[in-house]
Amino acid sequence: MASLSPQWEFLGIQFSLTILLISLLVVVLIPIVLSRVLVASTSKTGPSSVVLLAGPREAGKTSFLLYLQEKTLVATQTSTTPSTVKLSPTALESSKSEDGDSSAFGKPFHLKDTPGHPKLRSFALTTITDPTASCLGIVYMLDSAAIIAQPRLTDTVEYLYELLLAVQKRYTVLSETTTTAEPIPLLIACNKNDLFTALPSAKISSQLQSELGRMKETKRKGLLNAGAGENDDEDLEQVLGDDRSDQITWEGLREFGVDVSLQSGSIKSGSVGGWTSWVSECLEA
Amino acid sequence: MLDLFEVITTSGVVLWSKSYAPVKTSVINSLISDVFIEERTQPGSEGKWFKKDSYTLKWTHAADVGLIFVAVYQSLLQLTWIDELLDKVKKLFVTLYEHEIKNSKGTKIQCPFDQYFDSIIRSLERKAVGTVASRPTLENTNLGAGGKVLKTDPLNTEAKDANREEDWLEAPPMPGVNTNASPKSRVPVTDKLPTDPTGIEITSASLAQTLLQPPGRRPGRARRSRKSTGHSGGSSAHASSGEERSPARVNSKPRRGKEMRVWAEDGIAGVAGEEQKLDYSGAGGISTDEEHEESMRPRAEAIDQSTWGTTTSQGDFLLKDLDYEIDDILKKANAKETKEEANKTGPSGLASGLAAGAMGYFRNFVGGKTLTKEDTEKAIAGIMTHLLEKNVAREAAVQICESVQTSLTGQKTGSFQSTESLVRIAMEDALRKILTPTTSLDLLREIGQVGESESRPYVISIVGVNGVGKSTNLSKICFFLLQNKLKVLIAACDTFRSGAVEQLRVHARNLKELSEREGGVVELYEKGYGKDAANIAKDAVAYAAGQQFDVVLIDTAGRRHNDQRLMSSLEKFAKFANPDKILMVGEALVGSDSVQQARNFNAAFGRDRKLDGFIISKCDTVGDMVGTLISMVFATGIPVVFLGVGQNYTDLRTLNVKWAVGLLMS
Ligand SMILES: Nc1nc2c(ncn2[C@@H]2O[C@H](COP(=O)(O)OP(=O)(O)OP(=O)(O)O)[C@@H](O)[C@H]2O)c(=O)[nH]1
Ligand SMILES: [Mg+2]
Repeated sequence: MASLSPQWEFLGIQFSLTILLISLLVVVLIPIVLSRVLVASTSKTGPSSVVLLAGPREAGKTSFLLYLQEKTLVATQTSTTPSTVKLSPTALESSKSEDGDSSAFGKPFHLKDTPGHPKLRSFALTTITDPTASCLGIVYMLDSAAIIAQPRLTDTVEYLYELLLAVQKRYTVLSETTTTAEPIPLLIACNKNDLFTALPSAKISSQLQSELGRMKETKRKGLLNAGAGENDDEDLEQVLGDDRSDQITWEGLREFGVDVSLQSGSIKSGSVGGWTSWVSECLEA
Repeated sequence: MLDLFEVITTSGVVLWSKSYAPVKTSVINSLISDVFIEERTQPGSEGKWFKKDSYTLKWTHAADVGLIFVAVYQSLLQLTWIDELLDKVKKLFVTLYEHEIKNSKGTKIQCPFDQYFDSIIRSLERKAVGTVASRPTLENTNLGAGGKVLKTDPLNTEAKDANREEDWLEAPPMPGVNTNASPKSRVPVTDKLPTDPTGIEITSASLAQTLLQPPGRRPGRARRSRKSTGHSGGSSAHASSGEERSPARVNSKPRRGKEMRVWAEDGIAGVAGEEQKLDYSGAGGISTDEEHEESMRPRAEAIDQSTWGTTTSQGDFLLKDLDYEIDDILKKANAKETKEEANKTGPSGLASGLAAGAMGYFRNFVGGKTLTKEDTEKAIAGIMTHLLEKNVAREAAVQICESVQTSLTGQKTGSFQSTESLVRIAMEDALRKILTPTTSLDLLREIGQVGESESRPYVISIVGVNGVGKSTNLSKICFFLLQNKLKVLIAACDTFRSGAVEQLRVHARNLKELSEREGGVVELYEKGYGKDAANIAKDAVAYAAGQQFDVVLIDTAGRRHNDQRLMSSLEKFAKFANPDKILMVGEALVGSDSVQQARNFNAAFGRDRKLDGFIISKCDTVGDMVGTLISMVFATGIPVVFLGVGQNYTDLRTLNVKWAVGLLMS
């Protein structure tokens, strides 16, 4: 033993280098291990592959999440906190799969449902802007029937505008640091088309684009924010899309980091095939 | 009776619900948006109830598992046991499904809770009968000489009658209940009996006598029962309990031995120990004081054992088992609670205390600590002082801190996250939530929409106390609108203060000059002094509609917010001018009563009209105006539309929430 590692004698106690190293290691490792043990599963490091569910109040986001799990319309109330659920790709199939084979197919993904109340939209917006979270895609859900009323339309468009702006900001940051910044796919899911008052998706698409354009115009013409320019780096007002015109088109947004598509469906009548296949594609890409 | 009971996760999933009558989902949704998200409690409710349509809603949170329990009932009924129901259901539900809920991460779980719930409801109703109106029921019953025979026929027939009237709660069949309740859980209660030192022997004969005495002759009874009725919510509770009582009776057919416990505890126990019973109801109608209930229990048993004892059906037997299981769980939950209380005051064992202390110490800086109210106390106090230093009104600061503290209790700290930083983040979130408006504040867009779809001018009126800068801010808004090539009519409706009209005339002339090359058009509508402002405003709007103006800006007379006479004229004004937006100008000055101003102006426009926004003036002269600003928004829930930051027409800004939160937290 003595021949293998050098020894010192100090106050009559013998120290071997091995023991010294081991104890050092222990001292270093204990806090790390402890934190692992104590914090366990509740660690804050975000899941690697997230599909974000956003949209105005009462659109059916929570219902969609639950539909993927239960394959039926489950009763819900207004959400006040986000919830992230780990799903296996089999959840995207039309019928409820058996529990056993869930691990057989593909990598699981996370679906993050966020509240739609105007005061709680930062949950969704920070998910996009947070550089550590890898957001694979965004499902923006809206109520195709309620959108007829002006206040609801304004609300829906305003949230969409903020969301697109957040995506754009993220894209600008990303393309400065990396060369391979891909646009984020965003699905506008027009829910509740089982209702006879529901607008067709083509109509919603054109209405959203023109309303977004108008919003861009008034935002540009509007007053300055208080405090704008004080810390002039990030808070500088940014407009959605290019600053040459107030027009907004889905194609035009592509170069600003978002790939928009639009599909009607209904959770109530179970016609969510378009959305689920969109999510599958999103996972494969 | 109850219309709906729901157990909801904060993520919005209805985990379990029981509905007795159809209730629209929007009822609970508005509770969630108004009270939980926007923190607007209804006047007089102190956050204890919420009224919507014809319903009253009460609720309780289980923050650690992220659940909300909501009870919905008709406001006409004054149900006194709702609080206790919520409390019991919460404890039971959390104990039963805690594990699943934590695993499910806020999505659906299977929870066969129906029979537990029915059982709790039954026992509460029986108890309500016991406290409020047990006497008449008992006098109807026929006690035999030995006190052993209870004739159930009159009860049953009555019960059937009641059932026909109110079939909302038929004794449901209970197939296959009680798979978990071990026989053991039932034993201790009976075992305790002989050894219980407080047990009082009451002979059945004396009991019968007590029971059969006419109400008037019992000393002190009338007064006291009135008192207890008062406690349980007034006479209407009494009246409605007539119906509520009956189902209880349906289920209270005599049962064997130990099964009588609950029945007795609810009704007879009170009669036997008169003093205790009345204290008991005095402690809040149907007392939620479980310990007191505990102490009542043995005595009650002494009575039933000797007095009541007949047969029972198989169904009833199962039913009682469930009751025992529930009792057991609730008792454990309460015991846990008291133990936690005790732990807070002092460590029980030295060794375990040390171990726990060491763990807690590590967790303090390693993370993963589950926060209790005490843990956050210090950090919260610190942040409260900070808010007060920033001129946040004390009332607002206290409430904001409280809600942050409640939201944190039961949460786990992240890895290497200190309590302080968690509190700080939570506080930032709370402030952001308060300042974020719930509706769009894009004025230009709204003006465009109104013009397009309704082809009428958009009407904005400005109110506020004297000398706060109404006319100045009005001109700033006007300048902003003119720059956007809109056609604006300024209506001079301050017919009170001399010089007011002239002041506006100067502004109008300036604005005209400034905006000539921009393409905007401005005109002043004036009718001199002394006339009724509401009428002038109405005429101005009509004139503007005729002349194709885009916007009407109405200046009003400044008034003290505690001047009853002038304030009351605002209601008529709002009706006549029917403005799209009523904006109040408030000063950000420290020590000004801006919060009270905001409250009074908000209430001045009648029942269905509120303020739409604030313009905070003189932000340039006041260093820490954000404190006042957040107090005003917090007190009223009304957003800040504009900030006045200087003397020029261009010195108008919108509020940037992020910036304001940053200022407050710095
Ligand atoms: N008719 C119809 N109703 C639906 C459909 N999908 C959802 N709903 C209903 O819409 C309401 C709102 O659904 P939620 O899933 O709670 O909406 P949300 O988007 O999560 O709303 P927040 O949590 O407030 O943001 C519920 O009452 C659903 O039953 C649908 O396809 N058709
Ligand atoms: Mg939801």
